[in-house]
Amino acid sequence: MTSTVPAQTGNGVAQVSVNPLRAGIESNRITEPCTIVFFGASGDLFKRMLMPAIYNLRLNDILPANFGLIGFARTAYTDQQFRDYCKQCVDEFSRSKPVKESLWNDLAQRISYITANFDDTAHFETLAKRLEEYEQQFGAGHNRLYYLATPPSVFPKIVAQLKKAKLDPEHSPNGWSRIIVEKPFGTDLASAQALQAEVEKVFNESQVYRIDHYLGKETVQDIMALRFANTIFEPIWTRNYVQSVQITAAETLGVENRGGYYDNAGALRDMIQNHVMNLLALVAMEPPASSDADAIRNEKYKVFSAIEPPSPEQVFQMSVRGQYDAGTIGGEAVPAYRSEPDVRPDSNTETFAALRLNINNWRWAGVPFYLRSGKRLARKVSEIAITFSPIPHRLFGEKSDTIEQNVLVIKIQPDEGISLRFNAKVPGQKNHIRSVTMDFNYGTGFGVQSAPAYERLIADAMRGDATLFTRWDAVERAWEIVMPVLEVWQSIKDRSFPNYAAGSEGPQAAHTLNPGWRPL
Amino acid sequence: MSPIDVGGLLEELESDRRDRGGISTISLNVVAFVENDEALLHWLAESSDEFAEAHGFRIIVLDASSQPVTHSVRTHYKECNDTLMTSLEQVQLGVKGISANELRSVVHDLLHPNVRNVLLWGGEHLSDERFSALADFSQRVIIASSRRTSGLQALREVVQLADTHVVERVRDTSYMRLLPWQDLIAQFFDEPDLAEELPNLSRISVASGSEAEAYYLAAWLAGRLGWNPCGHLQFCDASGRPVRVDFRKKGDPRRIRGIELQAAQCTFGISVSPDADDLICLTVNGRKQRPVHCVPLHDVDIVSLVERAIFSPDDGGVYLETLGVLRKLLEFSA
Repeated sequence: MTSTVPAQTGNGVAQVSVNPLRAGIESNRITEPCTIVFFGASGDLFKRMLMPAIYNLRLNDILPANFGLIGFARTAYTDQQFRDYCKQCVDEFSRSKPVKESLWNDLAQRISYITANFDDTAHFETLAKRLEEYEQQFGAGHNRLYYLATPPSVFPKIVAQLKKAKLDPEHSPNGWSRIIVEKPFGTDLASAQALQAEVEKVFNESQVYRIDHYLGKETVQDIMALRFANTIFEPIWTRNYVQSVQITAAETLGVENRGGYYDNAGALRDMIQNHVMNLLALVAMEPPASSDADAIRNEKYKVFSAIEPPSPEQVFQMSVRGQYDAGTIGGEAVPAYRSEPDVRPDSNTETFAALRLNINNWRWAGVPFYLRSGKRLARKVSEIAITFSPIPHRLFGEKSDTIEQNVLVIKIQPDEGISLRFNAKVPGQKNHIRSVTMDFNYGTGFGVQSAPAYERLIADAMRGDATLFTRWDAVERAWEIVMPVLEVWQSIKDRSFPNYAAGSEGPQAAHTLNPGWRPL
Repeated sequence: MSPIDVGGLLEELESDRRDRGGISTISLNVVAFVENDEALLHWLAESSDEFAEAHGFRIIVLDASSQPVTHSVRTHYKECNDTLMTSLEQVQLGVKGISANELRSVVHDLLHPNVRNVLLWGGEHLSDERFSALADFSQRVIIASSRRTSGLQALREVVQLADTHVVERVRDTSYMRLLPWQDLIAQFFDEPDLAEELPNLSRISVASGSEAEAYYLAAWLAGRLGWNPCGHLQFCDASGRPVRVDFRKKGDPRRIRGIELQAAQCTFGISVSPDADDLICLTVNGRKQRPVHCVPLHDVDIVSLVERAIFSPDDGGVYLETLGVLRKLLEFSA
């Protein structure tokens, strides 16, 4: 009645039973039981993103039936106080408001909290006991997902404590243990390598899920669908037809309440090294052999390995930095970066970074990839623009007509969609040519609202699907690429700072690096 | 000569579109046949705009209760990046007294070319010649067997479709409404330890507002588990062991309130929570007892159901298998 099929496991090929009732029924539900432990559960990320994501996963019946959640942080809460806090997080930040009481009551009984000091092994032993109780009480099995939603400085400490308390994979033979690590993974190459050294003492690479929430966005996932589920784009996706690629992640917001963190990070570390580089990899990678996580991640790594990091002498030709001054956004006056809370008044931190990178392989040799990211810019927009080569010979159009190059724009946020610019004849006796656009918009095209990235990523980590997470070799290589820029910028103070007004297109020098930036 | 001026109707649509810039997102034809059902006509009028927000389509509403002199044309636009686009073109025709062949011809001429055709059947009987005529050029045929009656007569008509070439294109929304329940039943047996109980099921109890749901669910389960109907509401497995189906009338028509599966070592229960109507609780009692697990009940609205019926991928023959079992089961219930 139940049939069996061969399945690949860590130990070779085993027989697993197939549920005959599953045929023809699509389900997103995660089947394996699991307890998720949130380190840093009293923090901002948990409040705004993670707890609302967990609730929505339950609301959409994606969480496994046997599920538990344990919060672990410094702030003193009782279990009931923490449950109330979680409910408040959902009420305030969930996309599905208000909380469905009946569902909440079921979820709340699976939530508990440990007031803890990350230095104290005894608190991790309490966690071990709690996990055992969950396994009895909720049938959560021995599958554990640890989520590090803490400042990066305590990542190594938590990982080491998990081992001491025998909560590491080696001491969990009856289930899996995985760890989700929030960005930034290190603050430079050396610190990332040091962190990795600590992590790999306890978890092997297949158990580490380095989260970059950009990769969980539907439109980012659609980059691969656009390229590899269509035949019309891939043949022209090469140096023979593409003149340049621009990747923009621009924000109108300033540093908000993250001045302390941001002033030690800057745009290069905060956005370029991770989010923007990941977008570059998706645009530039070769078609993977399969949709398997490692097949995709191998191709992404190959892109990074084909990028030659700039030499210190090249840094100023290949990069531009900026810092915002006071200005006006949306009709409202906003302060200069150096006047933001927790920012040093003489700060040399960049709030704008632009790079030109070259990918030295057969597909992309000679095609510049322009990357830019900044705060307090004219418009909030994240997009990838592929500009195709000009026509080789002009046949149409009056002399006064500009024949514009074709541009394919993958719009990531706030609009989600794809736009193609091409030229068309203006109706009439004359042969005027004008550029027009063909637009696809996710919202109107499918009539659905995309789920927040964290929902997809947490569910994927529970399923053991690492496709949308960054592998260590890619993280390390991305650091290697940006390190020369980081080092030169750190060693040479930019005396022109602040060099762009809030609400503007960024520093003037960015237009020297690339005169063809798309307007914000 | 047909009393319906097809050319005039098409010209009206074309002219309206031209006036608005000529851009259209139409990528689907829906032919809705409605007979003696004001509520359905009203629903179509109300829901078309909502549906068109997601999928541009042309809908041809055939009102079999009105004379052919009656017709209306309506369009709906949406704005995208400052551009107006036609997302809905609606033609409503009275088709009372029009023969099946003539209807086929008129509708065929009114279809937007080179897009997918869907028939939404709201006629009295599936044996109606007009059903076959319209189903002929439709890539998907949507019926709602329990729309008019909750009795078994509607199911008897559905199983007759198994003899026709249309059957592979049919989606019955009454069956599709059971999908969340099928998923919940399947959920028990995703766990290997509980899957061992599948061969030991001996009784299926369904509490619902009408009988058809119990038949459909039981037929699906039997088809999947290789049971054959061997009596009134009874199956026999390959070894001849009987499996009994109990139906208890409870709640609103077409809505399930609870399901219980009796196995040798445990009982599997799915029921609407006594505390909240929007919550379903799953229980496993007996030797393999499990903690109670509750999930939200997502009441799928009709527009979403129709959308799924149009776009859902093939189910690998499971529905056809269910119809085959259902047909034999109904023979025992004559």
